[in-house]
Amino acid sequence: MNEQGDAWSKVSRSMEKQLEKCTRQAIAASRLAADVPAADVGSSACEVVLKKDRMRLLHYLDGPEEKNPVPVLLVYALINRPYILDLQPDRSVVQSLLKQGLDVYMIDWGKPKHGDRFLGLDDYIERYMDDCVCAIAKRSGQESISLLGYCIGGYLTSVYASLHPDRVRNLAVMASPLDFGIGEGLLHLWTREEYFDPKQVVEAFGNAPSEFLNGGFLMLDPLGNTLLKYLNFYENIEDRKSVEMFLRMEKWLSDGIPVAGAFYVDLIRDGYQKNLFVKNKLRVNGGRADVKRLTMPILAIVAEKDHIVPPSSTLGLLDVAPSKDKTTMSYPTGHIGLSVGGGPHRDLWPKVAGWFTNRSLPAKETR
Amino acid sequence: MDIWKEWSRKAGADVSDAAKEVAPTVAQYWAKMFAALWESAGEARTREDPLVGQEELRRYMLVSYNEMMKKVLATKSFAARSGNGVKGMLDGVKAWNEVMEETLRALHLPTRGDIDELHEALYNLSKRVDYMVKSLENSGNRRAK
Repeated sequence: MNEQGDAWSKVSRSMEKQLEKCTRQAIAASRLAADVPAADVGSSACEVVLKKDRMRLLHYLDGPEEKNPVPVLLVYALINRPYILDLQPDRSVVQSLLKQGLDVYMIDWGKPKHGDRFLGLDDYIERYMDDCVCAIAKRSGQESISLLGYCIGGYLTSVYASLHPDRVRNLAVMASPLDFGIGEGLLHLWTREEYFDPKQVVEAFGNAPSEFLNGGFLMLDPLGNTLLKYLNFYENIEDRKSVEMFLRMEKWLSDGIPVAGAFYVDLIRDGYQKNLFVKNKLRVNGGRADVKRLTMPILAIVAEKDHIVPPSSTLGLLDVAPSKDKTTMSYPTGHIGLSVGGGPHRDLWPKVAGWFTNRSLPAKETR
Repeated sequence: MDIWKEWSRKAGADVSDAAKEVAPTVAQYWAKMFAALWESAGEARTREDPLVGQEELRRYMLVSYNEMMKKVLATKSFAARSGNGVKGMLDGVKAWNEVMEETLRALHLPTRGDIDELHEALYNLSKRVDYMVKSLENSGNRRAK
C-alpha cells in the first residue's frame, strides 16, 4: 500500500511541475499573441548602386571608415530572398564581414514575373552578374574583386569565375551545389533524368513557383521542417530572443520567390542531371566555363549537417580547380545555420573575413 | 478490359517493388521505437519524475519517425513514384492551360501564349541591346588603353 502511495505522490508531483510549465508557456503564448514582435530583417544600412530590370546591387555602409580596398560581392541563390545574409544585426553575415573592415556588396535578384521566364543561366551570369562585378570594380578602382556565393549563388560565382578569371581576385563558395554527381542527397536523387523533367514544370507554370520548390524542400526533413520545428518553438516560447529569431526565420521561409523558367531548366538539366560544370563541358553564351581557369584562391565553406547540399558537392570544386590556394572551412550546422547560427557567427565568420583580408593585400604582403 | 488488367498488373508490381525496398527500413525503425516504448514504460516506475521520461520518449519517437521517413524518401521507388505524381499534376495544369487558351481564343481575347510571344520578343531585343552596349564599351576601353 505504501509503495503504491509513493508512486502516486511521485506522479502527482510530476504532474504539478508539468502543469506549472504548461501554464507558464500558455501565458507566454497569450502575451506573444497580444504583442507580436516586429520581425525586422535586412536592417543594415545600404544604398542601391545599380539597378537593372528586377536586379538591384546593394552597397553596405556600416563598418570602419578605412576599408579593405578589394570589395566582396555576396551572391545569393535565386530561390528565396537574400536578406537571410542580414537577418538580424547579431546574426548577419553582412555585419560580420563589415566589422572586419571589408567593403561589402550584395546582389538582390528581385522577384521574377511571368515575363522573366526566358532568363537563363547566361543572362544571370553575363548580363546581371557581370554588370555588378564591373560596376564594383569601377567604383573601387580595382581590376578584380572577391566573390562569395551562397547555395546556388556559389554555382553562379564559380561559373562566372571560370568565364572571367581576370575579374575575380578570390572565390568563396558556401554550401553550394557544384559537383552534382556525388550520388548522395535527396535533391540529387529526385531530380535524376529518369524521374523528373524540369521542362514540364516550365511548360505548365512558366517559372518554377516558390510553392512547388518549397514543397520539395519541406520533404527533405519532413517532421524537422514542420511538427518538430513548432514543438521547439513552443518549448522556447518564454525566451524573447529565440521567439524573435523564429519569427524572422518564418518570415524568410514564407517569402519565397519563383525561379525564372529557363534558369530552372538550365540548373536541373546541365547541373543536377548532367553535371556539366565539373566535367568541364558547361557552355554559357557560346563560351566554355573552363574550370581549369579557376586559379584564384578558393575557399569552400560547408555545413556538416547540410541536408540540402551535401558538403561533398561543394568540395567537389576543389578537386577540379587547379588553384594552388584552396581552403576548406566546415562547421557542424545545417544549410541555413551557416548564415544565421550563433556558433558560426562566433567561430566561423571572423575566420572567413580573415581569409578575404589576407588575400586582399598587395601581393608582397599576402600571407 | 485488357488495358485495365495491364494497368492493375503494373500498379500491383510497382507497389510490391516499393514495399520490398521500403519494408525492411520501416520494420527496423518501428522495432526500435517499440523497444524504446517498452523500456521507457519499465523505467517510469523507478524514476523520481515519471513524466520526464515521457517527454524524452515523445521526442525520441518523433525524431525516429522523421529519420524513418527520410530513409523512405531516399529510396529509388519513392523517387520514381513522386516523379510520376509530379508529372501527373503538371499534365493536369497543362491540360487546364490549354482549355483556357482555347476559351480565350474563341472569345477573341489575348491568351497567355500570345503574351509569352511578346515577352520573348522583348527579352531577345533587350538581350541584343545589352550585348551591343557591352561590346561598344569593351572596344572603347581597349582603345582607351
